[in-house]
Formats: sequence, structure tokens, C-alpha cells
Amino acid sequence: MTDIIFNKQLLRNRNVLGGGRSLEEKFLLHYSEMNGKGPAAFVQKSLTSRDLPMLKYFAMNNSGDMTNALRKEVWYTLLNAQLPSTKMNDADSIKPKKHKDEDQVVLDVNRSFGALKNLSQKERLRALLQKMIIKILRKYPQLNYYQGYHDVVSVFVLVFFERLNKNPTFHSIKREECNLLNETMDTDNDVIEPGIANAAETCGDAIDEKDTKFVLDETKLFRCIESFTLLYLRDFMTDSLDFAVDQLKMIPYLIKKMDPELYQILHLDKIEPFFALSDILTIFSHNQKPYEDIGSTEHSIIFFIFDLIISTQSMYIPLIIYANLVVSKKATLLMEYDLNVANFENIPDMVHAIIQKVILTQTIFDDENCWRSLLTEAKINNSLIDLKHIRGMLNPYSVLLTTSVSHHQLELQVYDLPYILELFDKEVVLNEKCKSFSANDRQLFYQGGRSSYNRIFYFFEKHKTIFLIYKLSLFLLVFAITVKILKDGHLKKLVARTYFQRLHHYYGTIIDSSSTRKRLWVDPLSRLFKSAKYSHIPDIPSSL
Amino acid sequence: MNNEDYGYDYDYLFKIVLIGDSGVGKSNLLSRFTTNEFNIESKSTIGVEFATRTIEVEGKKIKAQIWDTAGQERYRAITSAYYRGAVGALIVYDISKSGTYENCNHWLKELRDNADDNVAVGLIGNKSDLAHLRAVPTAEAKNFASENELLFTETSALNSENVDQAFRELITAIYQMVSKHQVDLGDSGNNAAAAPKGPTISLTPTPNENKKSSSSNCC
Ligand SMILES: Nc1nc2c(ncn2[C@@H]2O[C@H](COP(=O)(O)OP(=O)(O)O)[C@@H](O)[C@H]2O)c(=O)[nH]1
Ligand SMILES: [Mg+2]
Repeated sequence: MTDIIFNKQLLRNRNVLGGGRSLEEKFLLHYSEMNGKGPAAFVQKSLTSRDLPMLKYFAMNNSGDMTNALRKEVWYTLLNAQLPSTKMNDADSIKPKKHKDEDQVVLDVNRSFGALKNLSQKERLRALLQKMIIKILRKYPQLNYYQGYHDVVSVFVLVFFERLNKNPTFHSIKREECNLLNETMDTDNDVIEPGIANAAETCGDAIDEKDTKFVLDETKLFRCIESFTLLYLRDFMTDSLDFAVDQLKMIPYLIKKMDPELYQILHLDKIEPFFALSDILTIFSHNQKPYEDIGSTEHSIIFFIFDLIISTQSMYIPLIIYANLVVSKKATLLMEYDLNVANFENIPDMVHAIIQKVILTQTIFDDENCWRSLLTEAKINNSLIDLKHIRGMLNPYSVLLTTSVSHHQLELQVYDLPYILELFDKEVVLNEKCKSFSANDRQLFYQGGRSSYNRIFYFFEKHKTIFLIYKLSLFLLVFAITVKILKDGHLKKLVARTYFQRLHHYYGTIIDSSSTRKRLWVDPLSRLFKSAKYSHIPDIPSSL
Repeated sequence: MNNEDYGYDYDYLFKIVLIGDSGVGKSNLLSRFTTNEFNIESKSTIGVEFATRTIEVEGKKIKAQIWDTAGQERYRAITSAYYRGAVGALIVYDISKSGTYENCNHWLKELRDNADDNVAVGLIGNKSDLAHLRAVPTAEAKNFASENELLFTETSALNSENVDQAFRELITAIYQMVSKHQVDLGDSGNNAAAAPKGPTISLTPTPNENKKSSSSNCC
């Protein structure tokens, strides 16, 4: 079954992944070799050999047989490779100082995992969730927490939880300990070679190493969240949600490209796409909860969405999925529109309501086939992304323009932490600058920024040869002047002496002759520049 | 969200917004009022959601369409866009947390800046069941409410105390304003200041069509 899905997708992906044919073949070969042993063996082999493109490829084309035990290894390996940990990244850089948003975190954590029936499991999940979020905030105090971030983090917590669940050490974590971060924080985990650690972890049936395994897992969990947050969520974590709104604006842009008629009917040219806010800020995790009870959750669609983002390294994925979702429900939306047009106070309210209703209450979230095709389309539809246009819609440091892949490739993009933090700092400054702007003003500002900086820069780049000629002539001029000065001793002599003498003579005459003054002052220079008359200048007074 | 959210079986449609700090119980007040449910661990609200309930006031069917908002500061720019066209608002605080009460001033200003001028406003001190943790004296809040011409109720979404009453009071106040406004319009015809800006459908009685919304979750 798995093979069929892979084969189908391979055909489709051939274009998308252009040039990756050999990897596809390698992939198929490996995979069929491993077949019978299951995907675990396959992933394990790629993990041990740290074959990142292969893992990436596997996660991208995951057909649904990845268990969470495997998933966390794949996520960790990919995310850790995308933003490798550095010295700066070590635990000792964590500030024990309380972050301003911690109270809000607690409020939201207490309202998390509400659907879980197992009370002690719920308590432990919450403890872990709170610990992770607070650890991130204390380590990067420049990040602002947003309601919904806890939903994203809880997806990671759920994926990593299973393993911890079986581990008795975990039972000892109490919620109060979250405040004693520096103590629970383990500093020496990063020392372990990732490859070896992975192997040990996944093969792991060694019983006597439970403590280390537990610590190792939590460290991995934290690294995943850290990397994911910094690479993909930072637009949402400046002091306002302005840059999140900029991202939302991509949805009407995409819908317009896919279905201009629907775009018009829903008035998407006029209204703010706030209806998509919770699904984008939480990457669908707010409305799409994976758990009934832990253990039967691995095939939940939410994990596939995250698989796809992590493997393609693209935050365009949620936006494309959302736009596809709206377009695929066109018929229902049009019907709802007609029925509800008088049921709301204004058009934005109505559009918000019908889109949310269709997306939330249609059985779409339970409909695996529908989701599969949405995910496949999100992978393939990246031809929708026209970077030239999008640059005018987003700030230049945005996740979408800096750390998101817009057209899929096999190579894993690797970023370093100082670069990411610098991007965020710049985003913070820009956010401050644009604070009083409306979303539209902001776009004008980005476009303006483009014309004044980029255009000049672009011009220089494009006409390099012309500027070389200018430079050369300038150099010649300077050279000539230097030679002249060296020769004559001073600059004055550079200009024709006779010219100055004649000019002096001319003015002198004007002052003398009051009757002609007016006429001559009108435009003396025009005469000077008329070379033919130039020689006659001294003659003017005498002719009077 | 239930089918009623989209039905046409009403005489009036009132848009009401629920605002206030995060965690004061807005979402639970709403679910208590619309579906009589309380969930101690209901999800936090991200962005804006709405629910409706139709009640009868002075023989008229009034559909209250209540928009619930995220409380965190950074959501304000977005949530305030939804104040547009609201004829009523409830500002909620938690009687056991004085900070949430102190912020009511802020919320009131936010409302005055972004909503229509004639919006009817109620102040709600929620979690009255937590009497032993009370941090905001009733008299003080009452005072604040009367100074600012707000309705005032203390409620508990948990044990449903006063919840219905608080919503009813607000809806009735809006209704009286609307019917008075209609009479005024008939009398002098130029009391436009009291009317919401623009031709809002919410204040126009709709024909009592029993047309059911399509929300028959098809497909
Ligand atoms: N004791 C008590 N707790 C409440 C009451 N209303 C809400 N809560 C709790 O307060 C927390 C926040 O409630 P919620 O409705 O999500 O607040 P919101 O952020 O304002 O929407 C939840 O844990 C609720 O269980 C109440 O009337 N009494
Ligand atoms: Mg809420």
C-alpha cells in the first residue's frame, strides 16, 4: 500500500523536485530493500547514516505509516540540522529571569489538552508544555508569547510524550518545578553525538538507561521547539501581530490566483483575512486536536501538516493549505453566502462566519482523503508563489522571505542562530516603525522601501559596466588635476588665465558704464558661453 | 456553533461583543448563555468566534449574535475590527483578580474608540462563586459602572448565577433604545445621532421568514 502511494507521488514530484531523479531512485531502492522490515528500518538506516535528503524526502512523502516514535527522531534530526545548536545556544545562556508573558502562558496551559480523559496524563502533558514554553521565553526574552503558540508547542509535546510516558522518571516532574528552570535544565546533553544518540534511542530496548534517555528526549523536544519557533514562528512573536496579518494577506492573494471569481464574491479585495487568524497562528492545531487518547493519534492529520512544514522547510504550506481549503469548498461557501447575507451586520462578519463555519464544521477535518489531496496540492502548488509580487506584501525579514523555501528543493537549508536572531531584531525595529500603520499602509511602506533601496541597488548591479566607465573617467580627471597641480604649483592656474582676465575686464567695464548696466546684467553668462561672441567681450564697452 | 447561528427565525438581530482580559471567563459566559454549558478547561480563544441565542423581549424574538474575542493585548488591533456594527458590548472582569478590573477602563476606551457611539455597554464581574478570593468590592465596580453609564452585574459562569440576567438586561436595554429610536424617527425624523451609522440590518426588523439556514452539514 505504501509503495503505491510513493510511486504515485514520485511521478508528481518529479517536476517539483527537478533534478532529484537519482535521489528518488535511491529512495525507492532503499525503500524496497527495507520493505518487509517496515518504514522504521528505513528511517533508522537514514538516521544512522544521517542521510538528510532521504529523511526529508521520507517526511515529505510520508504515507501515514510513521509512528510518533519515528516521527520525533525525524523531526529532531531535520530541525536540529536546519538550525544547528551552537555555543550561544547552550543551556547556560538561559536567563532565569521571569518573562513578562509567563502569566498568560499559565492561563493558556491550564486550558490545554482539555479533551484528554486521562487526568494524570493531562497533568503531565501540561507540566511539560508549560516548562517548554517558559524555557523558550526565558532563553529568548526578545520573543513575545502569543495565545496559540501553546497550541503549536503542544503538538511537539504530544509527539515526544509517548516515550516519556513509559518512563518512570517523568512522573516525578511537578508543575512547581517549572519555576526552578535552572535546576531542571540539563546542560550536558548536547555533548552526545546526534547520530549515535538517535541510534541508541530508537533501537533502545536497554532498560537500565532510562534516566539518560528521558533527559535526552526532553533535550531533543526542546531543540525541536526552539528550532521550529525561531525558523518558522518568529513573525508572530514581535510586539504586535502586524506581521502575522501580513502573512494572512497571502491567503486572499492565493485565492485570487486560484479562483478569481470566488475572490470577488467573497469580497476578499476589501476585507481583512482575520478569519484565518487562528488556523495560521496555530498551524491548524487549535481547531484540529489530535488526541482522543494518546497512542491512537499518530495518524492525525495535524502531524502530517507539521511533517510537511518541517521537511519542506516552508511556512507557505499552511497558507496554501488554507487557500486550497477555501477554494475546494467553493460550492458550499456560495450557498452559505446566499443564505446568510442578511444574517450579519456587515460583510466582513458574514465572510468570517461562513468561512469559519465551512472550515470548522464540515467534516473536512475527519476526511483523510480530502486532507491528503490538500497536502499533496500544497507540495505541488508552489508555482503559485510569485516571489516578485510577494516581496511587496511582506517585510524583508519575514519568515516567508528569509527562512522559508518557496520552491521545493532537495537540499536542506541550514541557518545559523546569530543570523536568525539578527533577522528577528530587524523585524522588531521595523515593527516599531510601522506600529501606527494600517495593513495597507504597511504594504505601501514595504513597496516604497523597495523602490528607494532596491531599485537603486538593482540599477547599480545591472549597469555595472557603465559605472565602470564612469569610474574610469573620474579617475582620469583626478589624475589630470593632480598632474596639473604638481606641474603648476597651485589650482588657480588650472582654469584658463586669459578667461579670468577677460571676465574681470568685462565686469569692470559694466560698473563703469551705468547706462548699459541693466541690459548687460540680464544674462552676462549667456554671452560668455557663446564662444563666437566671447572674443568680442572686451569690445562691448568700447562700442558704446 | 449550532444551526441556530445561521437561522432567520427572529424579529431583530443584535450584534454584541464580549471583551475583557484573558481568562476572566468570557468564553464560558457565552457558552453558559447560548448552550448552558460550562467547561472548566475550555480552549483559550484565538482571534474571534461567535455564537447566538434567540430570546424573547416584550413579545419580540431577538437574536443575539455574540462575538467572543481573545483577551491578550496583542490581539486588540484585530478584535477591535469586530466592534463595528455592534449595538451592545459586555466588558468582563474577574472579581478575584483586581488587575482585570483595573483594565476595564482600557477596554471601555477601546470600545469608545472603535465601536459606534450609541453602543449599549454592560460591566460584568464574573466568577462570583469565588467569594473567598474576592479582590474587587462590588460597591467599587458599581460606582465605576454608574459613573460611566454602564449596566452592572456580578455573575458566575460556573454556577450560572446571573448569567442569563446579565445578557437579558443588555438585550432589553438595546431593544428599548431601538424601539424608542424608531418612535423618535416617526416623530421628528431627525434623531439620526441615536441610530447606528449607516443602514445596519441589525436594527431593521426582518420578516419572520421561517427559512431555515442551510447548515444541514451536508457533504
Ligand atoms: N470559578 C470560576 N471559574 C470560571 C468562571 N468562568 C470561567 N472560569 C474559569 O476561568 C478560566 C478562563 O475561562 P474562559 O472562559 O476561557 O476565559 P476567557 O479567556 O475570558 O474566554 C477557565 O479555566 C474557566 O474554567 C466562573 O464563573 N467561576
Ligand atoms: Mg475566551
